[in-house]
Amino acid sequence: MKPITIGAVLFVAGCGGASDATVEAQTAANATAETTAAIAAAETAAPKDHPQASLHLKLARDQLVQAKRLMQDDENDKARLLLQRATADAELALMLARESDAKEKAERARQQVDSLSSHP
Amino acid sequence: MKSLRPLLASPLLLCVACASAPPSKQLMDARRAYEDARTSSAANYRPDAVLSAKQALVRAERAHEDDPGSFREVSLAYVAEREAQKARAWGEYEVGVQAIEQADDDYKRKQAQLLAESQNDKQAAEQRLETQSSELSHERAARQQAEQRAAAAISSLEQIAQVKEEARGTVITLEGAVLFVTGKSELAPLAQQKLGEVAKALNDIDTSKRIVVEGHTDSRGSDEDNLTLSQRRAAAVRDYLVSQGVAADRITAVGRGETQPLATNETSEGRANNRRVEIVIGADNANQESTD
Repeated sequence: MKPITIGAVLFVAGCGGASDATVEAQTAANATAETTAAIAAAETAAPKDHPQASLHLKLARDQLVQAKRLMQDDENDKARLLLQRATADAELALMLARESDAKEKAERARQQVDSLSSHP
Repeated sequence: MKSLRPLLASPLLLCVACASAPPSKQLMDARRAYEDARTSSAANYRPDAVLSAKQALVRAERAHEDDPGSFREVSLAYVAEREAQKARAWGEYEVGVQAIEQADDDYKRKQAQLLAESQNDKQAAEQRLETQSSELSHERAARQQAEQRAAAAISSLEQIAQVKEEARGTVITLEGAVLFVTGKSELAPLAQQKLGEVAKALNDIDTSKRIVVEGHTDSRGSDEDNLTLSQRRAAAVRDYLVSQGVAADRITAVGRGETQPLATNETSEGRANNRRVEIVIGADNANQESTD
């Protein structure tokens, strides 16, 4: 995320007397990129059959679409809040998937230990 | 970070102040989710995530103070709720990771234990085999010794008596003249020494075999007298052998009288051969005759 932020700052500095609207548009673009990345990460990790993760992923995608639409209408404040919500949903989906995965693996490992003791 | 402490305190104070503006449903959900996260495994495993959730909740509370019921309040509460849920899931994820590590350790430990046990079993089996084979070789050695003892006993017998292998068993023939005074059934003094050696040899040969002592006479005198004499002499020999350590239950005495001559009764030499006591070792049980 850092290079993008730095890039944005440089761009803003370069523009010198850029209007508030331009700065705001840049910030919103960064937030969009962040949300998109979070959604992509969750999509890679979350299995399709995980209902909770799927729900939060869907919420994230929907809100991203909504935020983009608001940005086109210059409703940047509202759009930024929607992007924050979408990111939170995507990150939650990712963590729920990781939690399930770890628990399944732990269960399997435990079964292996049990099978070892019952079949010497 | 330095502004966190006043931030934490202010929403509580302000909430008391503006009790008239109720929090949004989202804010109440966020508070509940944060309580869940704070009391979950995340408190131990991911305190950083719990702290982030707390900061998100503080932002939502502040938005509520600034503008109750606003889209900003609702959205920040929405984010705070998910931050709290994420912290909780993160804690559970760490619990799972630790369980995997624990199970892996248990697996390795049990595997090593089972391996050690199977090696112990193998050693025990090898030990048993060794014991068995040493028992076997002891038995073999004992049997060889017994055979050697028997062979030695037979060869020592051959020096004092005639020894023959016949179908009925090993037959030791003792001259009557050596054992008895003519017409008597008491053992002559020299006979005791000889029979002592015979008794020793009998015990050395094979104590599991039955022994029959047979008395024989020449043809002089009546058949009846000869039978009686041969029975008495056989009994005398048997009794002496028993007194010298031969088990009484494996030795029987029987009189044959003049019925089984070895040589002619026409010459004195032939008659001397016919007057004899035979000790038969290894006679079949079925052929045993009752004692005198």
